[in-house]
Amino acid sequence: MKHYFKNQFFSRHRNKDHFKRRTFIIFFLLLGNALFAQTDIRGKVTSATTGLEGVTVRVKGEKTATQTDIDGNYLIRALGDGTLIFSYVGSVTQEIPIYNRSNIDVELQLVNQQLNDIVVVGYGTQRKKDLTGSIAVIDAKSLENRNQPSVGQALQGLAPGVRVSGPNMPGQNPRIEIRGVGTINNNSPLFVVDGMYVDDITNITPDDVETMQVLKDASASAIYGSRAANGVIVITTKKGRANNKLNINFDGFQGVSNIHQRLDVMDREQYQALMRAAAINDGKPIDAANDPNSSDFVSDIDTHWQDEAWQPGPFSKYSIALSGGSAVSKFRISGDYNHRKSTFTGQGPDFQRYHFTINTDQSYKKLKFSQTLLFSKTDGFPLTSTHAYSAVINVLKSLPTLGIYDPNSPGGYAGTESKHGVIDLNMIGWNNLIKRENKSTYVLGGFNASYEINKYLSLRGTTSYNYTAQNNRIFTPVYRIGYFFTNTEAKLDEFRNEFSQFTANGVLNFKRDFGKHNIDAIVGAEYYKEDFDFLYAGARGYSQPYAMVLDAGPSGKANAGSKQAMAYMSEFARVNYNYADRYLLTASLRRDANSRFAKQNRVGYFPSVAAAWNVNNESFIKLPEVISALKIRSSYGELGNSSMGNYLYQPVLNVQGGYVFGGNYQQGATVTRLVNQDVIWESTKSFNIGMDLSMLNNTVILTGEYYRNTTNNILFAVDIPLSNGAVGAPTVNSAGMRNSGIEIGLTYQKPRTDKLNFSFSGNISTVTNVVTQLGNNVPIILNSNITEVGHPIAQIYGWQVDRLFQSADDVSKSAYQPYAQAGDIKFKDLNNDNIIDDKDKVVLGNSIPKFTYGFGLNMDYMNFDLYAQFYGVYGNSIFNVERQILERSGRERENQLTSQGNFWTPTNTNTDVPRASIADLNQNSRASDRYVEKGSYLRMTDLQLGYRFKQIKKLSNLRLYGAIQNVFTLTKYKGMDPEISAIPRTIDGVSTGNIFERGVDNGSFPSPRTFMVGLQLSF
Amino acid sequence: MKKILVLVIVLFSLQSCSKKLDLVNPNAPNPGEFFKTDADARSAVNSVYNSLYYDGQYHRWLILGENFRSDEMYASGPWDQMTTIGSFTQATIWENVGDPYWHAYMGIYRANQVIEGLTDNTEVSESAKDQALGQIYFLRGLYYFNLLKIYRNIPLITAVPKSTAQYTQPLATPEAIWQQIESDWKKAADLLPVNWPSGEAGRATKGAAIAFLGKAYLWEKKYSEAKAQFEQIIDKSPYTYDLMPNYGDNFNETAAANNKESIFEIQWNTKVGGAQPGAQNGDPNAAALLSSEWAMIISPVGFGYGDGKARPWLVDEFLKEKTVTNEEDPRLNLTLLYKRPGEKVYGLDWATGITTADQNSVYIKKYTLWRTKSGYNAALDAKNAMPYYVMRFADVLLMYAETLNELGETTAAYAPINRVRGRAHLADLTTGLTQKAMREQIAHERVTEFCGEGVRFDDLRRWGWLGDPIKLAQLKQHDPEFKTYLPGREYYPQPQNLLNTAGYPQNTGW
Repeated sequence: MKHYFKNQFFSRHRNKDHFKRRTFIIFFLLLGNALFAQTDIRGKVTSATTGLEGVTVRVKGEKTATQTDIDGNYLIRALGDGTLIFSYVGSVTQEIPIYNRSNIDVELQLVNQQLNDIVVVGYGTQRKKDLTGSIAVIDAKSLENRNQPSVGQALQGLAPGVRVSGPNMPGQNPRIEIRGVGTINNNSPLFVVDGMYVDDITNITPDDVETMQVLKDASASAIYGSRAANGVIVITTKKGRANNKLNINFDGFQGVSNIHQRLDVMDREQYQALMRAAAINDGKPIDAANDPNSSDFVSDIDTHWQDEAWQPGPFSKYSIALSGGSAVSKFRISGDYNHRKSTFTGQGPDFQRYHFTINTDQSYKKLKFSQTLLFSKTDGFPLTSTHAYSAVINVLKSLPTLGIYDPNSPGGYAGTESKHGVIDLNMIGWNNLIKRENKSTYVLGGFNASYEINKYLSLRGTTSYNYTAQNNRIFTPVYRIGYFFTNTEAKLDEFRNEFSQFTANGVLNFKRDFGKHNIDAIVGAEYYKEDFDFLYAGARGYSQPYAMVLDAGPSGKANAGSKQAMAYMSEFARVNYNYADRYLLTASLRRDANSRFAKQNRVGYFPSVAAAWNVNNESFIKLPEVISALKIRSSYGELGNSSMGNYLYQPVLNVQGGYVFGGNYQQGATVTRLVNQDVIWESTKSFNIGMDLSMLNNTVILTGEYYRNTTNNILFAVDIPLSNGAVGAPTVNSAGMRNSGIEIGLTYQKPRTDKLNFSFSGNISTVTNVVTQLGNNVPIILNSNITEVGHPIAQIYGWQVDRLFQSADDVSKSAYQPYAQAGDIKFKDLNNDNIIDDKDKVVLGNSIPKFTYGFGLNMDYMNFDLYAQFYGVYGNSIFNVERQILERSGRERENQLTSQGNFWTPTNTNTDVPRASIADLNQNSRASDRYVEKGSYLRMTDLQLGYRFKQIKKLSNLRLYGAIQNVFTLTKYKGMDPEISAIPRTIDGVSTGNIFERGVDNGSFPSPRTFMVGLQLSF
Repeated sequence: MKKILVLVIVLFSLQSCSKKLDLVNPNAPNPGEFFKTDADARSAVNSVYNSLYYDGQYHRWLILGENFRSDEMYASGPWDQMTTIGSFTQATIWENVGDPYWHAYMGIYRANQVIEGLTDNTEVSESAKDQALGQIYFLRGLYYFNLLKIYRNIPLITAVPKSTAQYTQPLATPEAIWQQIESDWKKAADLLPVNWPSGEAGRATKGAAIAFLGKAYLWEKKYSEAKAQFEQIIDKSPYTYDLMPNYGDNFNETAAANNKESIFEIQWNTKVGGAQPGAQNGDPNAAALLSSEWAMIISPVGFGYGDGKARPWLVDEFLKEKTVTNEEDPRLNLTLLYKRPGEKVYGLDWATGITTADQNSVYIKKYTLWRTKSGYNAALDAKNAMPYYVMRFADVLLMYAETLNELGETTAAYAPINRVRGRAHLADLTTGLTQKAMREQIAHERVTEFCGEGVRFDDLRRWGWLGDPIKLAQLKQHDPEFKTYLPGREYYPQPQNLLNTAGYPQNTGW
């Protein structure tokens, strides 16, 4: 009856009810005090030195109970001879007799605190055990242990379903994919830092991160609607604690990075011998540099380019954080400096970052405010390349007959001359001469206010503003690196970008228990706008000594500029319903309207629904003893994607293409691009079913899930026939993709003891990717990849090698290969039409691994601690362009692997290396299974050993540690590094490195091996 | 409760201002407001000329293809995109295959926009429309003519696509394309003026349309129609075409542009435009350098890239005959650069200027600034304002002679030939040649007159030499690159893009 009454009239009668209860408690307390001499007992409950929130403190045998606050502090009244019971899910309950003490601090031994963790979900928080969605939680410790400058690389291998692969160059964001390749477009997840959207996470340092959560399924991420199709990574930064003291933390390390990988390329004599043989085979004159009879014969140079190019790159980091606070005001201020020097001779890649954050919180009665200010400044020199190949490949194929320096050449570097017969880039010269400087300043300001309207209702508003200013300068001096790479007029190109993002949202939260029914609901709205401003200016004609500013350039003043803007407006609502901690239900809906779409197609609706069942809380089911908790959950929802350019539905007139008449330029005007106004939202239907199992008193937690994400209407600029004469291709909803897979995560934490502690966590994920629609369903065939409907994206594709032709007769009896000779490769005539052509190309491998996995180990014994982390992929193929260039029998006269010295000749027939040829008319080096390799590897990414000193005076923590990254890699891959990343490049005028060219190693920058020592101090 | 309602209303009132989402592209004008004035029509036409500047057109690949595939030149640089053009071994994915296609259709797309923009248009004056359309038809015909002779199998597109379904069009027969070319050039001949004011020099003229129509007929072996066209513009009022007194005047940066011998030429200029190398691959850009890469490509290493050299038989071809004053054909020194007494290369002595490996190489001088520039890297800075001839009057005369010969009027063919020879101070031809012998003579005349101007490979195809075993053997002797010629490869392969997106069958021979 009473419940009924409350439910019906809760708002009106709330105060009365509240009053009644409070009066009763006060009465009881007064009574108790008078009769049994109760006292106030204060204390702090901690776990591993941090305060623990939400611990239930009860007086044994009484109904008196309280909970610890956010910092673990509690206050309770009890009799001096009583006993306090401290209980917390995931820990062993402790009973502590009071013995008339007024201050009792307790350290709880957490076996596994994951279940009760507060998890940040979109626009709110939830206890992990109340979740219905698929969320992976990564704690600060795991990130810190990686010693990476930004959170991206630090994520690798830590969470199931999250694949991180690097460019391995400091300052560049790695590729992060959640649950496979969801779309042809940008696959990066959405990053939300303390409720604010952050596009570039290079500015978020792991030292500032409290927790990181990966929202993987629709239930978890649909509240972000149109931006969540690639998953959401929610980052919560560290805040000050209300402990009335100043905490100072310092962490610094120094180390050195080494590119240790080497391929076995030819030395001068081997190279020259091969080139002579190739020229003779082709009936061409031997290039002078390789011809001992020529006066230009090179005999005094033998450059080992790999050893010259790679150098140890020292790096260091220093960070300091001050934090503290009182009951009404908390703060945390941190700053850090990172410097990673180039591992490549010359300027880049060099990365320096200054980083500074302030987080403050205040509360005033029912109002709470928090503010964030993040400032980050990076200075970098990128490693760039030119001439179609990545820096790595340019180094590998550089001629041993080419010197590095040439004091007589403008700029001081040597380059290929006509005697070499080839245009080869001296990467060391390039990386020294072209002065590229990328500077970036990033500011993030956020303000958050919440107001508790009443016990059940609260209102929260957040506004944030991100601002990035980039200044990229390229100064090109006068140089001559051989006859091809020359610049006769020094010039400066300066590019400035300004990017800003403004977000404002308001969320109304309703939270109330009705007996066993708990409701937690939000409704909110959001406005977002981003602006992009581009400015270019250039000048030329600089003379030495160079003053590298625009004003100093006397001629060729040029400029350009453009603006972009995008905005969206959204409303959203979510209801979480919990019945007796047994049945959990979540439903959410978001409506997004985005300026990128034409008016009639602007709005998208993104719903989700999810349910979970805490089996262990069910009275009629008796689970075996070993099981401490079991949850089964499932979700379904739709997510959206608008990742395409701005204004694409609006045709524009290009007024820059004119013509010269009578010696004078006349302006032209035309539409150069086709537009499509019918574009609608790309949408992903996401299904997830999972299970969370805790065993052995929560020491073992096993999570397993199956997911299936189906993406339709993918926004894709499908190649259109060149006969349209248009620039680019209009974006259309024209592709579909399905990703499904299983993810399993396992953690084990040995119950804490004084001496030996141990925890393990591992995960494994599978992705099965199928392209369900692709433009007009014509396969996309690139150099070595094919993407076609019904198959995974970007399969490796090419011819199959049969064997070498042994004679002219052999050639004439085989399927027709127009230019084949004895010693050339006989390719397989797979369609048996007696001619080797495009129709004989087949799928040679899958670029997507069968599974990826990671596991890590944390151990401490006495004062020592040990951390080890592993990451691996299994079952993918890589098309190795490094070998395609280095194993082609001298084609194009570039340096080759030493194995190519064993080329076919009429007298050396027992070999699989084709005959030497510069022209390679048979195209022995075409994309074939010759260059396809297994891409599986297992890498020990991190190994760290630390020693924690006993407390020294005011130092609460002093720890020394040493770490190695990329300790070893187990792989059969023959290239520099099996962890490849998509580096865009241009092969013969066709740009590659896009999503349809996955699994191609275009000379990815390899992972360095690093050694470092560090020091952590806390006061 | 009221408070909450108010809050909810406030939250959602944010959404009422949905105009915040009507973000208009601030970077370029809206084409909806175009084709309102005569000036608009003029700008639209200029943009169709602009496509001629593209990398796949006269900036690079078109010229390269025309020259390298003939027996006059070969690719001597190491870049396979260049070397494979002359050896008929291109890969379908390469820009040397795709760009000439794309950039020609770029011109056609722009031309079709003008035709549609001016159809039923009452805001642009009739005279402006006629001028605009005349030029558009001329240019569209030229783009189609280049496409047809390079690729043979192409789609016929005469309208702007209105929906995604129209992006892919079927292949047209070569006959249908010929019809379109004829029709476009006929319309152009009707609409175009004979002359433009000097400030507009370089625009297509009535005479150009007639000359090109004649060329089309010649290709189609419609000789009497061809004859009728050529006769309209040779020494007939109001046309004033004539040979320049000195052959070299055509290849002189300061004097060459829009002279009386020019029928249609690409207008390069180094004084206007931007500083970026002109190889555009996307939207036109005002910062592009309005100059060809050709001079850089063919200049010897040290002065340019040395990517294309001439075959030595050409020297002999010039030396076959002496002038009436018993001197060397003056065109030799204006065309070829090779080792001989007194030869200078950009002002330097041959022996020191040219690397040892290249001492016996022959280079094309034509279109380079060998007369005005000196020293190393002379051509490398890519600044060359010399026009590139798509057709000059000497070609009209020799095509006219060819037409007459094919019509059996061999005796009438002497006069136009002798006019070209006479400018080179060569004696008149001895009369009495058979039709067959006259064909050979015309071939010789064309080589010596147009060497390095990209007409030879057109001639070889027109005459069917590639299908004639004797002639093919001769070509292989001239230029070993022909050893890798396969029947059908006188046309490029279909670019990979078309195989992928339109599903066209690959051209025969590839």
